[in-house]
Amino acid sequence: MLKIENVTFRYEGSKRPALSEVSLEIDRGEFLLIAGLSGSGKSTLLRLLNGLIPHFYRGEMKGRVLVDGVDTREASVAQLSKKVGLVFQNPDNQIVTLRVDREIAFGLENLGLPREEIIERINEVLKKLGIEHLRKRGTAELSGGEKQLVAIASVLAMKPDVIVLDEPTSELDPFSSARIAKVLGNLNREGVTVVVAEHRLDLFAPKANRMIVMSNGRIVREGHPRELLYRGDISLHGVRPPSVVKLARKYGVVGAQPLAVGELIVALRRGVRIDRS
Amino acid sequence: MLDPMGMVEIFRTQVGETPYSRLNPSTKFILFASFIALPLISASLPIQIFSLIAQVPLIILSRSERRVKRSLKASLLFIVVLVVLNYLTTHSLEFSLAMVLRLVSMIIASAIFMTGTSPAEIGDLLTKLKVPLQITFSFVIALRFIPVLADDVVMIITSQVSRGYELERGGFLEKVKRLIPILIPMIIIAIRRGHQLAEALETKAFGAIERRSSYVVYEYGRGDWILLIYAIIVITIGLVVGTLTPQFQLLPFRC
Ligand SMILES: Nc1ncnc2c1ncn2[C@@H]1O[C@H](COP(=O)(O)OP(=O)(O)O)[C@@H](O)[C@H]1O
Ligand SMILES: [Mg+2]
Repeated sequence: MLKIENVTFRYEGSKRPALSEVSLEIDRGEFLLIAGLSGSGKSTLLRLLNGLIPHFYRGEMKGRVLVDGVDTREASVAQLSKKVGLVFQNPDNQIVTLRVDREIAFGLENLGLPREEIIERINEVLKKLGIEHLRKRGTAELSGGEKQLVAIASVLAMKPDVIVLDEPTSELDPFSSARIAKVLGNLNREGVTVVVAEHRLDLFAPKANRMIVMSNGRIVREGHPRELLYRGDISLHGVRPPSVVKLARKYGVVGAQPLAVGELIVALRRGVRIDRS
Repeated sequence: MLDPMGMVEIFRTQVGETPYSRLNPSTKFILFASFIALPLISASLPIQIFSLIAQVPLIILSRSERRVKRSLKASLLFIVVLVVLNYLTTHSLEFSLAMVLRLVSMIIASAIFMTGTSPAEIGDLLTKLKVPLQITFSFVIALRFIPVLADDVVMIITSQVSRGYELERGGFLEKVKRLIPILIPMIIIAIRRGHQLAEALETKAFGAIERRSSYVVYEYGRGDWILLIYAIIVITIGLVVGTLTPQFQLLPFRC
């Protein structure tokens, strides 16, 4: 559904390309996790997906990006917004209205949808994210986690095929971060394609079905998160495996490749049982 | 004796809904415009007294009785001083009184409108008045970012001070110079926020089509019609009293 073909991109004014010869294909229903140090090109990659590059950011681009077979250079960001929704890192900088329901309506008004449809979609998306109680609240009085949920809701309401998130938890407390991860997991189970760049691998790796690691503008590793995180060589690229992986190594249950705490416990129990018998 | 907080009490934001705040924003705006225009019809004392009395229903509907009373009480001395000063220059007690009442009446009208109308409603109103979307939207965005940028300022000051930076030192020029380490990061942060905001707007298809649709609609209820008729009646009476009774007329600019 999304296809990046051999893209090299250099921002105007910088000498080195931010992405070099990157190719990636994302299928419907996937949950793709993107890891990598800061400056490795994660945001740049995500900006390709909804056309912010090359429409919003100036620079030199080689290769092409296809969204549902359409070259992003041929479509506007607005047209692409119906297919690819992008949620940014800082919720404060993407909320533009003064009340939650109006915030969710904002993108839909821009698309010119009729009012009845807008109301229906607001109801739907508030329910989906479990934030119905925030409907009439002022956006300024929300907590960081609530703001990010509203930002996600406002993008989801536009019913994109893919929702792309750029470090959605980097400004949030651990509790809210876990909530965001859970919400995205649920959405993915309901069929929404999710692409997320994150540092919190402990929260997101268990939800993902595929993971890529970026370094210096290239995709250097690709595979299932279990496979990658237990291979050990990803720390070469500055990606630290979550503590569950370290514990699994320490207690010798690497074979089960647990990623979530629950899986680790199950693996440990099994291990213990085998010891006794 | 002087109670500046009390004087501006009238502009304190009303919490919760009132019959007035539930009105259609257009109605509120028309009432506001009417009660600004009314005292300007003529400078005569009867018109000014009438403007004040005619606002009583709005004061009650907006539940501002207490705030108006407290503000008036706190401003009493100020009002007296104004009347006296006016008298000293115009030598007409009636005219001086009329001028001060005109001021009071316009302040009350503004306060009722400003405290009973939310910023979002003002934004919608501007849209309705065919103000271009860019301008209306800038207004709403500005309101949206005031608390955010205020937090930024606090954060910058705190972090500069915690590094041993002294904000309050020296004479005036020195103090202005000392603002620079606050202002520069502030500007950089604001530009960065602006850039990310533009990115988010782009992503949400802002400006993609000529006519956006509108999620919020305001209906005209019975209260709106009653108050609109009231505004017409009040203005009509004002015009009659103000123009047909020249014996009351006192020109604002007498030689
Ligand atoms: N707007 C921009 N203008 C110029 N260079 C940029 C811009 N955004 C990012 N870069 C550069 O591109 C490279 C990749 O950055 P980015 O995609 O933001 O990485 P990440 O999201 O992984 O931190 C970095 O070297 C960064 O300095
Ligand atoms: Mg980034």
